[in-house]
Amino acid sequence: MKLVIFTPAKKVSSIGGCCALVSQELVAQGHEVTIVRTEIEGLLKSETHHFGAPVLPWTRTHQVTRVAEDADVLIYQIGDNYDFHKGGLEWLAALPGIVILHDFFLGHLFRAWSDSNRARGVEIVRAWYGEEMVKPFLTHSAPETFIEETKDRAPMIEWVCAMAHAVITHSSWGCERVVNSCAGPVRVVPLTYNKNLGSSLPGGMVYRPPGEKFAILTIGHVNANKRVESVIRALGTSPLLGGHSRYRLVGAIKPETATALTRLAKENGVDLVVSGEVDDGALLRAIEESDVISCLRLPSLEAASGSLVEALLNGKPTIVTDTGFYREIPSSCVMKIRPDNEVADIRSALEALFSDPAQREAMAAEGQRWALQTFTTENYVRELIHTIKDTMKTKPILNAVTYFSRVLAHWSADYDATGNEAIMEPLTIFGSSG
Amino acid sequence: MKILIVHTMTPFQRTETDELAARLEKALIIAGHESEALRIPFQWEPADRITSQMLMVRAFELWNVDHVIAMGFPAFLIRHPKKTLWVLGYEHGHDLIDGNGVVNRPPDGEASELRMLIRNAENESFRESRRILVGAETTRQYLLEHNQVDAKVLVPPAGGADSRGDWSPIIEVLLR
Repeated sequence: MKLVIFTPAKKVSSIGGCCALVSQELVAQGHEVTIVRTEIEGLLKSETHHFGAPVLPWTRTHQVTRVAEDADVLIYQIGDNYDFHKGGLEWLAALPGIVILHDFFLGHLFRAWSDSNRARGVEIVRAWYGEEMVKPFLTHSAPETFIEETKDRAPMIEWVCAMAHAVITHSSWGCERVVNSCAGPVRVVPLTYNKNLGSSLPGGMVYRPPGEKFAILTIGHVNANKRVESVIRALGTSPLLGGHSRYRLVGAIKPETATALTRLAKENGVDLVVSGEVDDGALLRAIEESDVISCLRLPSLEAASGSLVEALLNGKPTIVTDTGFYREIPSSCVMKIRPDNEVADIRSALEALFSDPAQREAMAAEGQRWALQTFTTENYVRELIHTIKDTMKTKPILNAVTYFSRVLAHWSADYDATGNEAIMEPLTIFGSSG
Repeated sequence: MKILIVHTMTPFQRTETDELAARLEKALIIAGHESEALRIPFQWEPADRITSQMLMVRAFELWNVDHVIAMGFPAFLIRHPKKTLWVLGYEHGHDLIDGNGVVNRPPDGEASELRMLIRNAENESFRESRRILVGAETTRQYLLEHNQVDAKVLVPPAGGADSRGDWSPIIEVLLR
């Protein structure tokens, strides 16, 4: 099979890393893969992951058109970051294909895209969510305010999924909007992950000399939804942990955020270490040295979390927020924190893990075993191939619907062909063979 | 010339249009053309099936045909670069949609959407046709009022006549 995959390819892209694993496996299975990298123009010369396949920038229109026309299927990796996905959006609109959806909120992607497509952007928001949702996308409010205003009522999932022939995503919690907007098959496939395992001990446990502090770690870009403040407050109110723990943040952080969190930690008597962005080796060491990893998210907008998968694969006891993707993790593998009782739950979870090394070890080992079985490239590629075959079967129906919708639009009907049983039912003959 | 006559039909019902199409087919053959009739099943009821029947006609692809003579809605939505419309008894179906009859009136909002859709489809078909002919002055007036189309009246020969003499001027106009 000939596949063209549109993806960010830059080394720091986690999506690009997953895609590299998938691409290598597809090539190993005898498929022909071409990668079209989709970052904004200024990033197209940066170092890439190793895909085992030729890589083209999305801006080379003639070359991309030629490989796309020659391909059996086009695959688009889409996440909520315009700098990484600009080219994917451009080509998806022109040449639809299978979308691999990494976030259940695409508001930032849409807002950045609509900056240069204002009229069309307004039309899209109005059509999917109504006039009242147009304003948040036109006014550049603060990130937290923008997310709060739009995440439930206008997450822009439908905008991308309606362009897709099929959608693969990585958890079920946000799928309703996907199913309602994509006319083709929708499949939930556990993420495949690209990072090497560290040298952690079996079950990820750390032999810690007496007196050394209990190490809690948060990894990734530090922002409000990672709940760092709540962890600090929980540690600050725990006599058990207060003097015996160290909380470390590894990942990009704005100076003003670092200052504010350091001040809060000081006020609460918490030993906070802000390490900032580090390379892969240092990140792996930070994971190895930790006793517990905090993968709290609120709101949770991802279809899956690379940080959580990394924590589990490394056999680390992990706490997560009981919401979204994280809710779908077996309760034997992580400790779940209720959003409406957050600080108290974090405190009791960390205290339990601190005081009971056996429980900590058992949970970490179970999480590692489950992650090793679940987040595999072999499974991912198998499911991807199934989805491609399903998509090929449904393509004639979608083409027919597209044709009929265009004719109806030309006749000026405000009409959704996919909602009309009289039109859709006879079309099922196209999909009944095979 | 290979001439296809396209018209709508209801199974096991024989209408005046069916009779006229059969006579025209014969007359075209007598005049030295190759001719066949394509009868497309269509009915006005229920109203929510009208759109899908229109789309079906629009989706047909015709090959090996030099000229199409389309009679009646929605047959004249069929696509062909050389298409002549000969509209007979046209207002009847439209009246049903308008509810002036009233056997097939959908709910108010839908009726107006459906009317608009039919009218836009008709107008598109009128624009892409070489000639628009009607069977009676009343039909001409109707199209003028509702579609702003000034058609020419071409009255079919009286029933039973299939001689070359009766049909020659009609065929000449239809294929002009």
